[in-house]
Amino acid sequence: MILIIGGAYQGKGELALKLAKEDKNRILFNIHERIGAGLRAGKTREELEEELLGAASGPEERILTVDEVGCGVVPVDTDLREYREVTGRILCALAKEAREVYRVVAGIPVKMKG
Amino acid sequence: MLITVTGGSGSGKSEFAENLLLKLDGDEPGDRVYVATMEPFGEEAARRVKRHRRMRGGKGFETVECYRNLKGLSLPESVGKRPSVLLECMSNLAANELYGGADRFPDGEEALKLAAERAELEILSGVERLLGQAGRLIVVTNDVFSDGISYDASTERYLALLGAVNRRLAALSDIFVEVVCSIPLYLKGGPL
Repeated sequence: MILIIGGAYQGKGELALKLAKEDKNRILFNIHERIGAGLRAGKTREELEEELLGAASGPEERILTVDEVGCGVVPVDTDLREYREVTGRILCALAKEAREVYRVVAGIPVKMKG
Repeated sequence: MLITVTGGSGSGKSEFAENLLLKLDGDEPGDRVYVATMEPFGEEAARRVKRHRRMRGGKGFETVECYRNLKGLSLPESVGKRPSVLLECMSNLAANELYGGADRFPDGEEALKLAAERAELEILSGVERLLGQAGRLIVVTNDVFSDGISYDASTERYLALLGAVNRRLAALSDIFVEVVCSIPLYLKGGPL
C-alpha cells in the first residue's frame, strides 16, 4: 500500500494518478470522507480501520489519499472532534502498514517512508 | 530567481524570508522592495503591520503596498540593477483578488467560480511580471489546508484558489521552503 497525505488542495490526487499510471481502480481517493461517513453511520474506529486495511490490500498494490485534518483548533463539536481524532489514529495504522508514505505540499511530494 | 516560503501562522516564515533575502544579497547593498498585500482594516491589522514594519526596520526595505492587480505594479526605478523583492503574503492577495473588496463580493456559486478563475490568472500573471522586474523574488504564502474543516462554498473556493496558486508557485520556484517553528525544510532546491 502507498499512503499519500497532505492538506486539502495540495495535489495528492495528481500524485496518486501518476503513481498508479492513471489506473483509477488502484486508488482510494479521500479516505477521510469515507471515515467521516462511517462515523456518521455509527461505525467504530476499529471497524473502520479494519475496513480500510481490507480495502487497501489485494493482489494489486493500492494507493490511498487522505487529507491531513488534525492541524486546526480543537473543534467544540463532539462529532468533529471524534472525526479528527479517529482519522489521525487510522492514518497512523495505515502508515504503519504502508510500503511508502508521501506527504504532498503545494504539489511537491516528500517521501516520509519507504 | 524565484523562492517560495510557506508555513503555518506564527511559524517564523516572514522573518526567515527577510533574512534569506538579505543573506542572498550578500554584500550588495542594492534595492530591496517589500510588497505588502494586506489591506490594513481595523486595529488588529494595524498592529500586525506595525510588528512587521518593526521587524523589517534597518534591513533596507522600501515598502510598496499592493492589495490587488499585482500585474499593474511597477517597481521603483533603480539605477542599473533589478531590486530584490519580498512579497508577503499570497494568502492576502488571493483573498483580495477573490473577494475584491467589500463592494465587489461575488454572490452565488457561478460568480464565485468566475471570480476564482479570474483571480488565479491575475495573480499568476502578476507574479510573472514581478519576477521580470526583480533580481530575486521571494513569495511568502500560507499553509491553511490542514485543519480538516469543511467550510462554506465561498471559503472552500478561496482554499482551492490559494492551493492552486501555491502549486503553481512551487512548480515555478527554484526553491520551495516550508518553515516549521522557524526551521526551514527545503522541499525543492536548496538548501541555501
